[in-house]
Amino acid sequence: MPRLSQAQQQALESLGVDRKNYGAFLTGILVPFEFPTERSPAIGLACRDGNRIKSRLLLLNDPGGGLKTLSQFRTASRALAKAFDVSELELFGAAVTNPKVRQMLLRNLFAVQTISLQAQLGGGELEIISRVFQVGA
Amino acid sequence: MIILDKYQKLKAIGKTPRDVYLAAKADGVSEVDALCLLRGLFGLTIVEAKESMVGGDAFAKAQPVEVGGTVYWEGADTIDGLWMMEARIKRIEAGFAYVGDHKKYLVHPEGLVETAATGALLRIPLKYFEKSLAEQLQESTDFWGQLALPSKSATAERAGTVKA
Repeated sequence: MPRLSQAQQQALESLGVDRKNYGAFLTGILVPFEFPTERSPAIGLACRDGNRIKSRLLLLNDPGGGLKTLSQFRTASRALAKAFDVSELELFGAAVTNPKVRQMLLRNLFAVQTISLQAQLGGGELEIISRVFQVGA
Repeated sequence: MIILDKYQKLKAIGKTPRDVYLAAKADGVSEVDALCLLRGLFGLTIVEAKESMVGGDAFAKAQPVEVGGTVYWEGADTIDGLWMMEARIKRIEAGFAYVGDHKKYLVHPEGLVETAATGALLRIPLKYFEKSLAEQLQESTDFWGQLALPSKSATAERAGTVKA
């Protein structure tokens, strides 16, 4: 297992990244994780890519608690970026099909791109909507 | 460990991806494994697999309103800024949900910070909970987006065109 500080391990655990995926996470491979919510865990993808943490929410199934979960997800992602001392955090939603949410993200300077999905999640291509934020001190 | 044979049989007898997902969850299969299972078994795209797991579009769903259930609403004021309230439904009567056990969270850039739930509503029109998550998000971002825009009078004041 790669050597990680306690803060880095805690941040990865808070997000729900499995220990067995730490190595892939550090080499820039998006690894799946299950982020705890009030109801079903959300599925996310994350990796460290150079000076940037990429953190994506792929599936959210938390009727009613969605806003709280989104806020907690953003917090956990920011904590991860700080723990790894990177200057950028790329937050994104994957396969965002709801037209209202798409429109809202695009209005708020999120951009659409297509990425390849690793075999771990069944392969294929995936559209994501992302935006890069600077990580403050 | 996914017992693939069981799910292949379910598919063979005409069960839908949603049925197979629910069976897998009852068997303790994780969300990530369930996603892979549906994609592999039914040849679904990520979007199709997601919708089978969620039972539709998660962002288009309204909050479930039932006695004993938890509901959420958000708001903003000049003291606390943006906040979110969480409460449990005690009873439903005449178009209102009567709620208690409030928890209030301030929405800070660092995350949600629990604070004293002062001034919390004790009854909320059921109509409020008909809003989907997408609508809630849109209202919040519109509200803050509008606040961030300079008003006409402020712009005029900066330009020195406001007469005392």
